[in-house]
Amino acid sequence: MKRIIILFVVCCIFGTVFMAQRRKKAGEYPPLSKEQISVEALWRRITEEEDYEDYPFWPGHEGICDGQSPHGVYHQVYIHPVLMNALPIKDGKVPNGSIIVKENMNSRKKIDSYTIMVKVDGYNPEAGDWFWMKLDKKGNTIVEGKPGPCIACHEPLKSNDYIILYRLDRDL
Amino acid sequence: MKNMSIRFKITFFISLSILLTILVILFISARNQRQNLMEASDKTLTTNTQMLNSTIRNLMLNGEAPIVVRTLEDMQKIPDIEELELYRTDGTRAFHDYKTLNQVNGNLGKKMFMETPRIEYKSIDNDNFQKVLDSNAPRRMELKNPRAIEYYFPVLNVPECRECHGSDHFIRGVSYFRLSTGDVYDQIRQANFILVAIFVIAGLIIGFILLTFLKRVIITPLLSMRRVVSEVAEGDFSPRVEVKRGDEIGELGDEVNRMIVGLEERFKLSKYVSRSTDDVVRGRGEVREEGKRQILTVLFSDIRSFTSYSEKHGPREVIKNLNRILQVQALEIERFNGDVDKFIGDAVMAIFQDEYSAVRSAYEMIKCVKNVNRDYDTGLHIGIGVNSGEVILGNIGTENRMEYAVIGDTVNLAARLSGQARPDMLLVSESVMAALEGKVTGKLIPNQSIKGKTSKINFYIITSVLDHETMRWLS
Repeated sequence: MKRIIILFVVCCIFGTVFMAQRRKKAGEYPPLSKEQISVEALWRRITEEEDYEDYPFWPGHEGICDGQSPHGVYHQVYIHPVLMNALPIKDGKVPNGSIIVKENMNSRKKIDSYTIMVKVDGYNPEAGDWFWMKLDKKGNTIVEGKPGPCIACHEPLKSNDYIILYRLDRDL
Repeated sequence: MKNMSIRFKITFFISLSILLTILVILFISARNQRQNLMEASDKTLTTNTQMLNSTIRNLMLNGEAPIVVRTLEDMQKIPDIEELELYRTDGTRAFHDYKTLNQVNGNLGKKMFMETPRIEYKSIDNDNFQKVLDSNAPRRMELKNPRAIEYYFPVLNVPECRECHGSDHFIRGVSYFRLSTGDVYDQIRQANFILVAIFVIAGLIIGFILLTFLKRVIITPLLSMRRVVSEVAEGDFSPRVEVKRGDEIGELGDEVNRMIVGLEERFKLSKYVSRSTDDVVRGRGEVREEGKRQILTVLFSDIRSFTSYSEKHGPREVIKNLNRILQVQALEIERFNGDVDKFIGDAVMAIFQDEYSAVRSAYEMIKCVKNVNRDYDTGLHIGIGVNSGEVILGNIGTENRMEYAVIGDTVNLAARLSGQARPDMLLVSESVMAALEGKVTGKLIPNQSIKGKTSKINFYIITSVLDHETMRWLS
């Protein structure tokens, strides 16, 4: 029995190390280009190649916070380290490859959908070069690309590169 | 704790276990309950806020400001809603002046909306309000005194609003709720009280049942066994453990009873065997089937003319007086560390490790028997013979019936000397006399024929003994 337990523990350790090694650290992958960008590529990037749950939060907006429609009653927002490391941003433009992942939650704080933005140089210059996507909790695509309602809602904050929750030029 | 009774220990342990269990369950239940109630309140509040914002937005889209004002006023009357306001981003209350109205008409390029009655001016300026404006996200605060939740909810300038209000800002205003949670906490307190009461009562009942059960099954039988064992230790072998059960306690009781029977038998038997035999049986003495040789002093004491005495007196009197005389002799033998080997009718055979103890004991034996004679008018006297030398010790007899005996010429001579001794006379052999030089005085009786001896021997009549304690000569 003792041997079985030791074997199990060793396997777990090796498995963990192996799995950790499979993923590169966030930021080590090159940003997705406008030719590469798609829902699948972006989802793979944030769930397989990297783990978006390892990304940091907006400073002062950590963990599950209150949200509102059209997102969830609660939300949790992760930002890519490339974006975090660039703060504060005085020119109002986030770096290429910045990813913002928002988990939209219901009143029971369970994830109902994901809304994700990624900065892709040359993708949509008229609207900040953001690629937008919304997936339901099972991963089915609801919107993707250059959705009008999303862009229209974020547009008043064009000077903040369409970002609502955080003033980019705020000192840390 | 070590010296406390088992009853106390069990009671203490059960009480402590139940108390700890109750406390843990209460803590977890109370925490879960509070969490659930707060979550329910949160959910309601969030839903209400979402509904309110939707309502305001949709009403305003139609330019129905008076309806919005009426809606807010009506909602303020709902119990538990302590405050409900809509503020502009500058912190002033919406609808208190015509600033927004004028801006909207300006944006539309015509007087689209007419002036309607305004409400009282009010303003807000606190950190939470500012943080909502900075983050464009709702904020919630839980207040402790009085119990309430504050909720700040940004009213967004969504695309539909921009035609009237312009597109240069993201937030139109902030709606503010304060919802009383005093009732929720009262409910929690009440529920906790009921929970505590239930658990305490349940704990008491369970504790009582457990204690009663343990008392019946374990404590009472154990105490009963203790009482029986105490009485046995006092020498009373009559009590028995009255626990008739098929479990381990019952088996223990049966074993204790068997042990008492064994102890009683052994105790009775010990009266019929010498100490040396008892030692051998108990394993304290060396038991060698082939026997062993040892230098010992043997004492024989015999009641003079006992046969004729017994013929002249009744059996009851004979036995009584005989036992009196044997009793006092045995006591004196033991007093001087001798061992009564056996009683042979009216004779006593005893073993000593040294000659002085034997002779000293013999002196006291003669004196005590004289006292018995005086007290009970028995007319009986003893004659004692003491010899020392090599003896053989060993188990004599058969497999099923044997005796640990001392035999040899030394024993025989002691017996013969006893037989030769007149009443109240102590005869010792040459070896004894030689060993006691300076400690006894005696009269030599030379060249005597002794039955069983081929040659004549010398022996001595002891006339006085030196008492080592008082250093006085006893004659």
